[in-house]
Amino acid sequence: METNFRTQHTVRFYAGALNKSPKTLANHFALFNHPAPSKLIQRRIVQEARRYLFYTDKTAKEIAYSLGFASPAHFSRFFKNQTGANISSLQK
Amino acid sequence: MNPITIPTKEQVPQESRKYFDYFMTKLGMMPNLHAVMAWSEPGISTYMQLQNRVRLLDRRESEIVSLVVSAMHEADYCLETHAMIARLNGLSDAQITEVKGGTAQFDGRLNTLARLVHSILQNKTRADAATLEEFFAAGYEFPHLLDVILTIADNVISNIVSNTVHLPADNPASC
Repeated sequence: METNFRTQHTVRFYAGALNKSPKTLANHFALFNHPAPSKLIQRRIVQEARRYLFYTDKTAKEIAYSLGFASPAHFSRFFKNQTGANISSLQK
Repeated sequence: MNPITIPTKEQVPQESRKYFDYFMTKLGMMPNLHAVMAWSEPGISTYMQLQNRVRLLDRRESEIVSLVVSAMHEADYCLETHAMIARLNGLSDAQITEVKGGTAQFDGRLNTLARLVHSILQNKTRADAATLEEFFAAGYEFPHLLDVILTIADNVISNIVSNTVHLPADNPASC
């Protein structure tokens, strides 16, 4: 995930890399009381977005494309959904 | 109270707690370095003022300084954090490795900066005259030098803290 999360956002991709179906992967995670695979991917993207906002001067648009979003609007919505905060409120 | 544990927000003095809120809002996590410094309100507030000052160096330049200083002090926690920030600001892993050795030959101007910082620390604060001259010849002026000095000082503080208390890495799972 660490090498691919910028371009690959689906559980299907990571499950495929492990020769498992998304469903099997999710079941394995649930068995060990781990957060769902989809949650882990979302968390890693949010963390990277926060790091960009805090440690760089990149615009929201640049960050959206760096993290593999189809458009800045998708990225803004995703970020707001995940954190409850607007991107602009975290920019200095 | 063991002074070298990494505190939670509830363990630190009331006046330090706002820094936990600041980092949780901005970064979604509290860096171990800042958490440890929050044991002392003057400690964390003075350090934050230093970090959040208006800078003349840009992000990449600041990271060059931080990488050189932290590498010379073998401060693993700081090196990991600054390598991460340098990557976010467009430096490649090969470039980061070179900078840790005190040069930045991929960019003439950054190279004078890396070499100056290395020289200042290696010669116990007395920059080599020729190295300083190259720094100014690259277009930097005295206010830039002062910002370099403040950035070195910021890193000396965090390097000492992290090496003294053996700070564990932030988020080992995701770094």
